[in-house]
Amino acid sequence: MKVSPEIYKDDQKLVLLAQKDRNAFGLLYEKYFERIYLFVYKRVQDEAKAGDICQEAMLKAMFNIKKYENRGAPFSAWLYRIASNEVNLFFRKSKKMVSVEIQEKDLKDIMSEISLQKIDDQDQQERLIAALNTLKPEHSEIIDLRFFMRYSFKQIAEFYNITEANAKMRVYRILERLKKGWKTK
Amino acid sequence: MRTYKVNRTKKPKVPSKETIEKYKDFTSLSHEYDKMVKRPKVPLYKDKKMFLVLLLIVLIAILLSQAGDEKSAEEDIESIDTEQIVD
Repeated sequence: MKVSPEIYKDDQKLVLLAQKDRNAFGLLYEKYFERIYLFVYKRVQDEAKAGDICQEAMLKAMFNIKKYENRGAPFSAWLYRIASNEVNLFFRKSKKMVSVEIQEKDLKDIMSEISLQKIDDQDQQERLIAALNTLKPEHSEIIDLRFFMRYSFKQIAEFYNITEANAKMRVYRILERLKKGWKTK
Repeated sequence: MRTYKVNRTKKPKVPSKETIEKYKDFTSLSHEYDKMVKRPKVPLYKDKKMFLVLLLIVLIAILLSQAGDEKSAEEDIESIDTEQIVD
C-alpha cells in the first residue's frame, strides 16, 4: 500500500487508514519497526529476542488499533507502551535470570542524582546495582527510560500519558527511595 | 526475572540496519493476525468434543426445567390441600 509523503508523515491519518483497512497497518509497521526494535533491544539486549518481542508488540498493536483513541500524546507513545508491556511480560515469564548491562556512565549519573559521593568507587557502584535490582518492575522501567535510554521528562510523560510534572515526581520518588535504602544500609 | 550488571569496558552494541531488517516481516505478521482473527474452520456443533459438551448442557437444562416444573406442581397441590382443610 502506498500513500503520499504528506499522509505518511501524519500518524493520525495513518491510524485512520489502518482502522479501516488492516493492510494499511503495514505503513505504521514500516515507519515504526526500527524504532520499536531498538527500544526493545535496549531493554533486553538480545537481537533475536528483541525481534520476537517487537513482532509480538506489533501484532498486539494491529489487533487493538481500532480501540486506539487520540488523547493528545503522539501515536508512537502508544506503540512504545505496548512494546514495553511486552518486554515486562518477557522478563516476568523468563525462568532464567536475564542480565541487562548498563554503562558505568549511566550509573554514575544516577549516583550524582541521588547525591552520592565517591561515584568512581566500584564498591559503591555495585551497591547501587544491588539496590536497583530490588526495584519493582514498574519502578525500574522508569529508571530505564530516564537514565539508560536517556528519555526527557516530556518523553516519559508522553509514554505514560501523564503530565511532565507528574513524570518528574515519579522519577524523583524512586530516586528518593533508592537514597533512603542506601542510608539505612 | 532480570538483573542489572555494570559494563565498564565494552561499548554498548547497537544492532545494524541489516540485522533489524532481518526481523522486519509484515507478511508473517499479517498471517499471525489472520490466525488470531479468523473464525475456527469447523463449526462448534461439528467438533465431537464440543458437540458432547453442548449436548450435556442441553440435557442439564432440560432436567433442571423439569425438576422446576415438578416442584411447582407439588407446591400447587399442597396449597390446594391446605385450602380444602381450611374450608
